[in-house]
Amino acid sequence: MNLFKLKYKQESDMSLVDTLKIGSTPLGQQSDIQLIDTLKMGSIQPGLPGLNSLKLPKPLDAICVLLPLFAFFLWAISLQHVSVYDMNDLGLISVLSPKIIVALVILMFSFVLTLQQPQMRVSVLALHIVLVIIILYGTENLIEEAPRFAVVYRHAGYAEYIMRTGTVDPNLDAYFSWPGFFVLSAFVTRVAGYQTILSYAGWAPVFYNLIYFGPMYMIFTSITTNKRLVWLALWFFYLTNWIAQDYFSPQGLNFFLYLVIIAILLTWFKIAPKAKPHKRQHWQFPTRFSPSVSWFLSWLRAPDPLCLIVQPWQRWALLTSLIVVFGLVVFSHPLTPFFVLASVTTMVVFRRCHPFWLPILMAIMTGAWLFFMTQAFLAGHSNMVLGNFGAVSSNISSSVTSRTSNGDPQHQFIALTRIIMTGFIWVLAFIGAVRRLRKGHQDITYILLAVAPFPLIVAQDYGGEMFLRVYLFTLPFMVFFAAALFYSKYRLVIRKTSPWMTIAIIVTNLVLLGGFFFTRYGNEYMDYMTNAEVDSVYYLYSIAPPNSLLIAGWNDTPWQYKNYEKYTCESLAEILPDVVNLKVSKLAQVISSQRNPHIYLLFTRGEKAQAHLLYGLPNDALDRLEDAMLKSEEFKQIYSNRDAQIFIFVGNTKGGGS
Amino acid sequence: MTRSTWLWPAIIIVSALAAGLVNFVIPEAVGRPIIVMWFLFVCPGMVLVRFFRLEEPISQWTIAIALSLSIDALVAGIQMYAGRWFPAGTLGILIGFCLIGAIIQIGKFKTS
Repeated sequence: MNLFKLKYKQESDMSLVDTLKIGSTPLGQQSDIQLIDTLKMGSIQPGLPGLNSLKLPKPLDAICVLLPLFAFFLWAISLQHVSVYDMNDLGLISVLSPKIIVALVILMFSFVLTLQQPQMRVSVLALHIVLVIIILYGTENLIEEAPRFAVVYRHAGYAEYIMRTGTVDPNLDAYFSWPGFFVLSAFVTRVAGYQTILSYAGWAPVFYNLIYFGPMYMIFTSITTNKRLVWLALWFFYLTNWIAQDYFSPQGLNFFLYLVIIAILLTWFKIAPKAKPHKRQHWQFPTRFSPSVSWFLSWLRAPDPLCLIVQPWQRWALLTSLIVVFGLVVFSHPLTPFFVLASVTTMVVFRRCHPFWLPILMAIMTGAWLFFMTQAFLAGHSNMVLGNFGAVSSNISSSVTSRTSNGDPQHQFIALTRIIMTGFIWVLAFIGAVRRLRKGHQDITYILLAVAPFPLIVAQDYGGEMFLRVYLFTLPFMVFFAAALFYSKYRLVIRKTSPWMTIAIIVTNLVLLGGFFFTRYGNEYMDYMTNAEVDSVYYLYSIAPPNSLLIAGWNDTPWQYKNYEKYTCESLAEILPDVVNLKVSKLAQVISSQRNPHIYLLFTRGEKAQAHLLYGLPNDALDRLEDAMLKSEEFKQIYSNRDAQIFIFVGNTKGGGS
Repeated sequence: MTRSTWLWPAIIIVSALAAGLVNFVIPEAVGRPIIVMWFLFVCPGMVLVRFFRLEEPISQWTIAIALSLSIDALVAGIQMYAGRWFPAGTLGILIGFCLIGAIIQIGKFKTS
């Protein structure tokens, strides 16, 4: 044991599993328990290696520090040359300065170079991760004029409602039935001295991705002590998190909370071999099973390699923390509790973690919230919640195939790229998992977690986003196995790295980075907001009296950020989808039937972009509608700037102004 | 007492006092958002996590941030549902919670 400890301290990047294997001691036997005791005593910390990475720099070490700083500098000075107004249907990639792409490629090369050094430099690797997060997830906020995503403005409206009224109204919007995130936002905004979340919401992607680092690091170090594998998996995560759920939203926060819950369970609540019931431990599979089935069942029951044991009172403290965190999950998002439940239940059912009652408690908490706090929502939306249950092909179709067959051809290309990149990372993960399996690693818990979210596709299509959410919640485990493809050999320490392996890692990184430019930034043409668009909405709110009907030319309008309950907001995409094929008189007729004395129509650049990209309308379809409205007597233009026009409906009064 | 035992309680006490100062005494302070967000996102959770005696810094930080956000939201949410929405009061509760926790830690480490 002492010899083992000595070895471990000397070679910080070796795998415990490797060591056990080399020692010819099968997992689950005495040495495994001794190993756990060693961890318990604190002799081995499965976290960051010590500060041995902070030694005097050698030339190569200096290069590994200077290269990322140079890349960051290159990126920073290149931002000023980006003009979002020149963007085309391919999104941000169409206007990104080549220097920004070069900066990212330099950063990637530098990361791989650092990773492949015989001596691990944790602080330098961490520097690379922080810089790549800022570059990949902060660029949009730095080059665009206003917070991106129309939905962020609606989220600002929820928080503003709570700040102004001190309450929520579940009849107004579904999110008021799960208001935790907005209560937190309203509270933080008010005590931080801001008037609106829009003052800081643009930095949400950077903030979220920075805090995702901690729980993912815990998850990865709970399966391996091979730090190269851990850091490459983390790097892969940031190159593949194109899902864009990290904007200022409840789901962005809830993904962090999900990771924390899973990280706590994997770090401290995995079932240690000696903790398994005596009876089960000696249970033998019936001999009628074929060898492959017996092998599979044995593999399924194999204990996890790294179990960190703490005192009972510490376990209770951690468990209480986990339940408090899950309380916020239940309180703040309708979907995430089910992803947590799916993962935790899977782990408990397959005896990968305890306590056994945890999923039961979580189910009770989720059910109680649904039953007592969301009745207003469920009463009117039961069909929406349960209508697609079991319709697997329909749910997959709305999430996948319809996205590649609708809209503008360039947008279809983006959607197809997303599917290809999803398939690419999943295939890498599959090969990596098989490779680790063949090397004797016991990864059953992590394989189960990688597949646990998939059954939720059966339950819902979640507005066509369920497949995307499944991708997100499986991503940490998928990137781990994908990274394992490059670091699965039994080696105590890397003395000399294989050039072929280095080349393979670089090529994979280039593919992932290249894909990221399209998958992450591909919708930017309709997602970004200009000051002119936001100004038009400010103007609209300044003139429209309460209870007015506000109609957007299409979806994607940066409105509802204040006085959420005082205006009725509609979109022509919903009330008259074929409006561009109809005469203005028909539009006037439909609007007139709304029976509201104050009706305003707002056309913005983002609306036109979405109508074109997602719905395949001609580029000038809404412009032609505006021209027709200008010529008609039913509508009067009252505001116009570069990116927005506002009309008032005067059909009822023939000339009545605002 | 070693440096590691008093450092975090000291940071938490200073952060709590600073958050109170920029909210209740000098609300025009330039660094108010940074100070308040630091306090709200780290301190309520860290004051608890310090009692757990976890060795690993990344685990401490991760759980501290998750707990902080949860405690902030749950306290504010309970006040809202109770019809007592009062952000300054919520902040006061959290400041008090952190101060008490940090003082207990200092006292505990002194005696141990």
